[in-house]
Amino acid sequence: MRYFAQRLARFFVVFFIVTFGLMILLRLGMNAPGDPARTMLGGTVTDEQIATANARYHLDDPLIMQYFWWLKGMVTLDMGTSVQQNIAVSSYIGSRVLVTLFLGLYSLALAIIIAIPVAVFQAYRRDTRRDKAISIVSFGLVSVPNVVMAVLMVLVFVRTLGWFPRTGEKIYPWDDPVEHFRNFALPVFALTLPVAAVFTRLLRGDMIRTLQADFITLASAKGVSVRRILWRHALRNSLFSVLTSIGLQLSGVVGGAIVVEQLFNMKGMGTLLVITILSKDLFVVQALAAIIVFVVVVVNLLVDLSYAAVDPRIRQMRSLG
Amino acid sequence: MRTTRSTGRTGRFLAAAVISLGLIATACNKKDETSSSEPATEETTEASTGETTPGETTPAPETTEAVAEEIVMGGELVVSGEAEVANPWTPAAMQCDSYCQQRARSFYDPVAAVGEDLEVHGVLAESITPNEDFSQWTIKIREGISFTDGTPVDGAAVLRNLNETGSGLLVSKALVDLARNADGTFKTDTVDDYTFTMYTGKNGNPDEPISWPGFPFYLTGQWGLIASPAYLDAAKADPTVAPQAVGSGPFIVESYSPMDALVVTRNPNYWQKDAAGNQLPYLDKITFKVIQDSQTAAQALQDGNIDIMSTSAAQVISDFREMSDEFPMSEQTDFTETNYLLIDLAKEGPTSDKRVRCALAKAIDRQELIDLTAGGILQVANGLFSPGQEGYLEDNGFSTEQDIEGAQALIDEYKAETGASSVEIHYGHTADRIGDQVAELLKGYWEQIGVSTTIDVVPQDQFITLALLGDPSYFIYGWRNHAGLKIDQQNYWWNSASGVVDGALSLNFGRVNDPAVDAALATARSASDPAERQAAAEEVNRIFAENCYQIPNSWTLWGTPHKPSVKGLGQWVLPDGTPTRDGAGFSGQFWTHTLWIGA
Amino acid sequence: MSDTTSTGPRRTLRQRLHLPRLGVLFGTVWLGGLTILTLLANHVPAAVPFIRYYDTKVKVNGKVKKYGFGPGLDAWFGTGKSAEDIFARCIYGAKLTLLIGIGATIIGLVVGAVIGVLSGYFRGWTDRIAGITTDSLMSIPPLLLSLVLVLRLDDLKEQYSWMGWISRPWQLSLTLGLVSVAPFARIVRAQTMVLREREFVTAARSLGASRSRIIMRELMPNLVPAMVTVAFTGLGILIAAEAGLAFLGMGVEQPHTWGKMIDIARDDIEKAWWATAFPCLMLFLTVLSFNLLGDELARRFDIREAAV
Repeated sequence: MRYFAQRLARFFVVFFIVTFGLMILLRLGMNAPGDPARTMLGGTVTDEQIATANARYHLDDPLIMQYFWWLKGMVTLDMGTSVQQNIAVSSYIGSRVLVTLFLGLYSLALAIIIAIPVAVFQAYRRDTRRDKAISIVSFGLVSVPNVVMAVLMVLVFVRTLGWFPRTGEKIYPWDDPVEHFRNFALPVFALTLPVAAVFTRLLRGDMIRTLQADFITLASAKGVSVRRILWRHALRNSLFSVLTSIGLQLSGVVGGAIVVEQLFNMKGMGTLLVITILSKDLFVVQALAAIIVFVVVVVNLLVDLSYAAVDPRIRQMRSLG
Repeated sequence: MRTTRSTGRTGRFLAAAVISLGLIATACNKKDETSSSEPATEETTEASTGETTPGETTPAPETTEAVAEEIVMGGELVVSGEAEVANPWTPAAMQCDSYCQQRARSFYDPVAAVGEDLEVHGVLAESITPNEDFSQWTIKIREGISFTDGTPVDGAAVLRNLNETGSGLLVSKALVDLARNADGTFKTDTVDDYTFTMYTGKNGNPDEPISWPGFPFYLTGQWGLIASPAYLDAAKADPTVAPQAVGSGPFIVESYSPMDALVVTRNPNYWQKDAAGNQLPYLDKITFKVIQDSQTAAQALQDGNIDIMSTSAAQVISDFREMSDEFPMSEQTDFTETNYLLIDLAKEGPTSDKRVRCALAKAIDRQELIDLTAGGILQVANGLFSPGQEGYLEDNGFSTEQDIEGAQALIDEYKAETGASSVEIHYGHTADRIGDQVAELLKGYWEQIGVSTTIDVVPQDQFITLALLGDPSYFIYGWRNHAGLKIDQQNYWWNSASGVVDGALSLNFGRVNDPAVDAALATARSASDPAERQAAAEEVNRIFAENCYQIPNSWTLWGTPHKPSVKGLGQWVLPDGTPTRDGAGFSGQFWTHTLWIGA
Repeated sequence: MSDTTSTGPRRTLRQRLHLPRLGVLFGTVWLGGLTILTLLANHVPAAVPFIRYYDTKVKVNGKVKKYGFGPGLDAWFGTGKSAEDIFARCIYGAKLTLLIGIGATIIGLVVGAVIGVLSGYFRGWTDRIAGITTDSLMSIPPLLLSLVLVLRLDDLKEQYSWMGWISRPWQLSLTLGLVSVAPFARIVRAQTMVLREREFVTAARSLGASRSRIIMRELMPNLVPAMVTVAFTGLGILIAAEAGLAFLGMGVEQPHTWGKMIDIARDDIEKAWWATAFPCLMLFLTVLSFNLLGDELARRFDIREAAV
């Protein structure tokens, strides 16, 4: 319980520090009272317009106050207004969040789904030619930057084979599942493979270590089947490294999603981020960044909390009984 | 036994075949009966309406009657364009480029529009009548037209718009010679509920009227877009209302999602019908998407995700030329924009010297530039006046060929005289692929004559602002401008009255400060003889060429490729019977009133 | 990665000749070759006549043509949008990529090592504060932070003249350096905590050595292997990050790095595939090489955290 409270506290602290830091970063150098408004509205604005903007968005309050206004807004899902498009940020980014969410979720889930059987196989058939071959491939995949992976997908599956479209349209599974699949397949695959490779390598290492443990030898001596040993006993106790790295991989997937979205011209948070950062639509950038950070920190928190469930020692003792 | 069986089988097979044939036949009949699309008449119309071969302009109007017969009402269209508008959608605030104009004209009616004859004809206006010396203009608005929120389009509504839009920073500079009252509103006299008179006045002074034959052209642009005053009031109180524009146009704004899509639906009470009595518009719905990258949009058209697009991306146009049987494309080659290098003439430094400017101009291999960045299909430009524009000259004294030695000589002369040891300049451009490529090529050319270039990438939204304000960082910008028909529409870009100093707002981006140019512009504005106006325009062309005030590179080309099922392009007829001309208002623009989806 | 040291009587030829593993060989050759070529091309072009100049326009039948040549004898990697030689550009671009990567790694490693050592050795509040800091840094996806930072630095550079020296390559080095501080700090901290309890440290402590002396004389030298190892794998990651930023448009203007080359040609993937494929290949092989070398070092120095 205490552990839980500690982690939760840390979660909040980190979230506040990061979002406040980002806000400061975005406003750095805008010292004169009219600067933020002028930056967001573009230069051809009258003083009157600046004054209006300042009043509406509290832009001349001290930064701490502005942060509280913003935080309050975020909690009530009022993320402010895109000063340039005169549209509520929440509706501006609404549809885009889903696209990126799909990308991220699919990639991570698929990565885990791929990694588990491969790693189990590798651990079981350790040091055979197949194991080594898979290791070489996964090493290679880990070294492929996101942009290269995405380009490769296009070259092979769009240009040569023509199976998938060049652009990832915003089609949801409830609209047209087949087209949804076709449009998301390549971007997801581009993101998945390197992550799957990382997970595979970590899991393999952990599995091999676990398989050398006493309780496994004991189980084997007791006549438990290989399959049961691998999947029930060893796997459960080997998830530690993978779990730890999920948070890190998620951060990487976010960055990767930006690049992949750009290459496939998808309408997601990534492309919007690039657009709004360049056009200095500050409220939108803040909102997008906050959402991303929130997701990352929450996932990290969940991972931390799940250690209790996956802690090797506890699991080990349970499986012996 | 066997025989029976086989007969049985064969019999069944035959029966099935007959039935299926019958079904097919029925289906065919059904199709013929219910199909409202077209027999042969349509085909020939289609052929003659023909999407044009390169070099030709949009079709002539004779086919109007033939098409009107077989039109299919209803249908949805997906359009794509390249840029998103800033500050949508009040006419006063929006920073409107070509695609913005395109979209706005689907839900706003303009006061007037340019017709096939390249003259101004009223749309919301029933008549625009000048007095004898073109110093007073009486505008009568058609009666019986309402905005889609029910409020009437009357003189007061139009004036409200004209005043509001006309007081915007940029538009007010363009209308500097309209007389104003002390409070800044235009001086007008109301004749009746639907008629009012506007007055010209030098620099806004009502006591100094000028002759301005070309004034009505301004009513065909952004200034002439008329929105419902009730909507304008609501948008003032709450800016988030602004994207839900309310006008009197053929379509109504349903939803707007920036950088994504603008959806408009049919206005069932639109005030115009076509010649055959059908209620305009024909389409039920238009979705205007924004796809910034022209290649992506081209791909979307080929994949069937959009129906029509307008683009000035030469590579895309060149590609679609080769696919003209799958995707008909109408092209616009007349009065298009010029791609040129905009120089801040007020900036202290090498570019304020004519020799340096002309050297920079001479060093460019224009044809190579066009080959590499535009697929070779654009025309080399000799000035800021493109073919079809008032003032265009085939030979204005500007040499477009690359001449490295000549350029080097000029630079050497400059260095010798001023004692400068090196020539350094800044070149700014927007962050897009072609801009990058052009910048690099230019840098390469100028390196050959010993000029070192620093390339600045300027974000799109700041670009115009920096030029407007004469920002310290603005030396030379890769620019595109000056579409339009008459030189009078370009007046405020080159007039020294628009401002000539850095640091102050100036629509005269280049800070051109030449009395001869001012004089010619004045003549072009006020002379009543068209030939005199033409001569004045040509004079401006020659002065620019001689002084290398700006460095022209090429004239743009606009193409509108579309699916063959999209019909009715360029068919809109103005209320007074004159056919319109797509692109005459804004390059690449097409009217949406008469579009329909065929087979 | 499991080791394959054989214990049997039969040893492979490679082992008998004490040659390094294939991967290491490749990595060294690739990186070495690339470095030499790019330095020569950038500074002593006469020494590499087979590499065209950066700006040369390759003519097809006397005319300049976009994407005129595919890969072949006229241009090994084909020509690009402005008729430039892609192979030549790949080589020219390598220098800045490597420099930025190295710069970022050094910055990240120095700052990260300081934080790591201090928090690993002193523990307590130092560690807690450092922990929160690194946690916070690691909660921001690197690409996101980099995007914001590079662009903000652009703005600030214009405002404050003393920041004028921060050109785009510096912006990238600083940004990527900052982003890599947290991971470096973590690894150094872990190593420090291990070394702290080793005999030579406890011995020094019992002899009354001051803390700074212990850190400088005992810890640091033993941290170097870990830092070097981590530097190599880190370089691989940072180079990939630079490519990503360049792809999104935040890269250096000239010369084009591989990421930017990919971005420029990405619309024409289907027609002129070589213009994207070869920069991709260069990028991949370079990152791979760093990973191979880093992995080998990790194996040698037995540092698990740094393994790929």
